[in-house]
Amino acid sequence: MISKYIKLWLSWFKLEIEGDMAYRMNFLLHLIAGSIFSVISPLIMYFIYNSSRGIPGWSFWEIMLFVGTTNLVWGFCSFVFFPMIPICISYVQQGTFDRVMIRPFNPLGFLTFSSIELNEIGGLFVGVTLISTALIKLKTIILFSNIIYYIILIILALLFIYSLIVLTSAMCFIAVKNFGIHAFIEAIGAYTEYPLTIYGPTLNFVFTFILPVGIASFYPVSILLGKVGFSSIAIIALPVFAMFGFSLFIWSIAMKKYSSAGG
Amino acid sequence: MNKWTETNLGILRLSFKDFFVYRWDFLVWTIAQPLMLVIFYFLWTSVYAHSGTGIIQGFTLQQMINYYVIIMVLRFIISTNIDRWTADKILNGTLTKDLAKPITYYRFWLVRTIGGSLFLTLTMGIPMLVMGMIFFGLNISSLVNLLLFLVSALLAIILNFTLILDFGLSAFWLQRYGGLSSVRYAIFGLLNGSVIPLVLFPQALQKVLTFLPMQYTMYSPARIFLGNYTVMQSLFVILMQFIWIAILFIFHRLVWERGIRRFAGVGS
Repeated sequence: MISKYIKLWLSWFKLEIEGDMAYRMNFLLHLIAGSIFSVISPLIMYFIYNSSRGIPGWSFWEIMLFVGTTNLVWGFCSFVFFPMIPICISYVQQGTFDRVMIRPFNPLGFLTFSSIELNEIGGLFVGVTLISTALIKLKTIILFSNIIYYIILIILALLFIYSLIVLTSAMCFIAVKNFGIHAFIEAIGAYTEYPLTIYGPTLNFVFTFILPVGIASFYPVSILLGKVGFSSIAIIALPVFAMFGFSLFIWSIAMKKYSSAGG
Repeated sequence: MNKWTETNLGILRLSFKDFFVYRWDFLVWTIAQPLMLVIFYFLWTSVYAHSGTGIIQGFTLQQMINYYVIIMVLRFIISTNIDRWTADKILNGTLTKDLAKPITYYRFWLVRTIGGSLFLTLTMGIPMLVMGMIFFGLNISSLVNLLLFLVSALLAIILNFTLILDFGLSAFWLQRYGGLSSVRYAIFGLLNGSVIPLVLFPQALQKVLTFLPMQYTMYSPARIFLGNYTVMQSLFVILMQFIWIAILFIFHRLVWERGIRRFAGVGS
């Protein structure tokens, strides 16, 4: 079952590489652009820490670890999940989603495993580089258990962003148009670029229990650095699973509403 | 009404209609933009509180927040995707439709962009300024500054349009434009002062940026509005905007003439 989807993903990956290699210069420029975008946040932090004491509770290299984790999570999602949205918009507007529905795949599974954007891999590299550099510079002893918790929370972060993408894609099906809703994902993405502690208690609560933005990097990095305990995993995991369930529910409604008329 | 005015008014009406066609995108964008402002509000409030100092690089917290309010207003006013539209038209051959118009491509789209900016100023810019005044203590430093800002903002629209259009013309020589467009977007976002005031950059970089056009599209007009510049400094900004518009327009004509000779109108 799973191997069927992995084969599908690998086929698309091969096609994506062939497509990108046909326009090498364009591909290279996309990589450069992705890297510049990913460097903007660390640069902002560098300038802020250069001219002030920075963000309370976070040293410079801790915040670099934070920004690197944000880049890692969003870079990965841009690479493997985000293309789902334009693909859905195209299917909806042309009324060609029937082609997906008659395939021997679950439609959501098919969309998920056929969305790849190799152009976006630059952010992922910047994220990994920042995390590695920050960990070396921090010279903090990090417990092995905290590394495991960090990885678990990163997986939950990917699930959270995937849920947002499923929700957005479903909304495009329901509204039968691209109404710029991706602007909301960008805004949510921007909220994940800074530690939750800056937003004050009310938004802190909202970003933990209602729209768990904190999972994208605040909780993973906090647990890695020992700023929060194991209980945080349980606290943040429930809203993430709830969000995932909600996105699947909305997706099922969207599938029922779909007609081939286009828009 | 003479023909010149009549043509321009006709194009302005078209640009107003664009917003009604794409009203949902416009509405979502309108709601999403202030969400970004909230982030900067919390970020800088937290940084200033932690630093225990009232001033960072000459900015008080109030001025810093006001800076982002003005930047948001300017972003509404000057935003354009003219490079992508132009590149698409060149690459898929539909530029022929524009070439058949009895008006130059540059003038048609500039007037249309100004029309869009006018619409956004009335529907978004002014309400945002009023909200900034109510919620963030934004104030107009003086009538002179306001006038200088209005001139500077209009020039910023023209400068930004010409600069971005020039990038789009590279599609005459490229097979794909997406990559270059992304690089342009990323670099401009950093160097036009929309994510962080350029005064926080290292001194040497600030000096280099004075000679580049990007900061005159957002950063400098914003600082004029905030009253950070003397009248002479504001006039220097306006002069630099004029110079850059002239340079980029001449460049546009040269590139356009060469590009149009290559253009086959069949797409790629």
